[in-house]
Amino acid sequence: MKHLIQSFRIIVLSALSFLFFACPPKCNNQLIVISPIPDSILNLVPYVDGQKVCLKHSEGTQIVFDCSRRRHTEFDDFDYGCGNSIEFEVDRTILTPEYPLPEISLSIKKISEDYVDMNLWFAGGNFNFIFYENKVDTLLEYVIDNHIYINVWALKSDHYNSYLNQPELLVDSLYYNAEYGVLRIKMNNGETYDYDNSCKN
Amino acid sequence: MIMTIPAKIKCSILLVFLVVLFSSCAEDQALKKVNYYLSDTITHWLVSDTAFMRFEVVDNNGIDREYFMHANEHDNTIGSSYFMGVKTQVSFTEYCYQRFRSNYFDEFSIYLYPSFNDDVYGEQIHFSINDLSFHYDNNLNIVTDIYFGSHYLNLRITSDGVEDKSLISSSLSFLDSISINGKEYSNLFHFKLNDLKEYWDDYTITDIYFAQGVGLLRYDMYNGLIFTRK
Repeated sequence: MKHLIQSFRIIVLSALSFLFFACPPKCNNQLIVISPIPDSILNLVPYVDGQKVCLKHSEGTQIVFDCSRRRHTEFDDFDYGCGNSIEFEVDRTILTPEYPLPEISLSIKKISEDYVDMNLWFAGGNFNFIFYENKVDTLLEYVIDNHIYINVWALKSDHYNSYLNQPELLVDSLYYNAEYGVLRIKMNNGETYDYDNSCKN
Repeated sequence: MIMTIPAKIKCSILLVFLVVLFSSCAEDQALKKVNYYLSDTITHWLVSDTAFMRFEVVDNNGIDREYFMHANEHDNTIGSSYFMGVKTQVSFTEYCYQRFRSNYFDEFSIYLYPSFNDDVYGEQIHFSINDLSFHYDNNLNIVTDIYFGSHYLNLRITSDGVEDKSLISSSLSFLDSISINGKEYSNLFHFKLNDLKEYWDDYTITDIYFAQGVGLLRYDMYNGLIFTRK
């Protein structure tokens, strides 16, 4: 009987100590709020909510895009609830074509105090504009249909496709400036979608 | 222990029951096995040549898009029937499935099923393009189901036949040949959508042309856009 009681005590003690050590340490959560995206970066996207934007295909067809622009806050939880999380601003512009083509998505995210990520996506083509310390890189001059555009970024696509099989017809490059937005999207077969200023808003 | 004859009979029955129960636990084990196969007639609709697994399409505004094969399956689905916990029948139904996607994220697929249920249902072609799907029964020679977005129409089919054929007016007809962008294609179907018109929009696909062995040749949208194989 004594032996039984002693065994029982050992079992209970073991269970209690296991319970004690199985409890995770108290989390030291801290929410880091990143300051808003500065106007100098927001002004790099000239699109306004409700605006019509036009691009002209190299074969002549004008494609009208309906613009939606929204700003919201997102959270990133790095340690799944037990660690720092950050709150940051996202400015997202969606250009929805009035044609059977995918949307153009432009997003600006400020995920740290010294780093802003601006990204444009169209048909599997992904373009990253990276600004350190809120500064913008030196740009170039670009001519489309005898019109000279200044302060133009010329970017090559990082192809992002989530599936293994890839098409061979791909988005190749993007020409963009802060005054007009998308100036040209070029496909790798030579087709282009060019900024068309004859859009009726 | 000496068993009486009735007791022996009961034990034997119990033994047989237990053997059947355990032997029917395996996925492909049952009292009866049934196989449903696809005929050559229906499998001719599959894209068979690797040369046709990637192709370009141009619309009537000169905008190109490229389709490429994204899935190509040939397998069996397994079905089981039970009676009082005993697997009485296991069926192996052959199927073929091909799916294509475009660089602009359009998608079409073709799914082939064999006939079943004592030929009440014939061999089936299930075709889907973007938000439109239809089922065609090769025995009854009619379109039996239409799916468009969240809307659908289904014909009710019994051993006596189709209850109300007038419910679906969309059609599928077979053509000997067609010329598209200077190339001749033979043995094709032309699907014409005539239903659910109240839900159509500019991008609703109303006509589909699809050739045996080659695949999608042409599709037309309600707004007049026509996409043809280059």
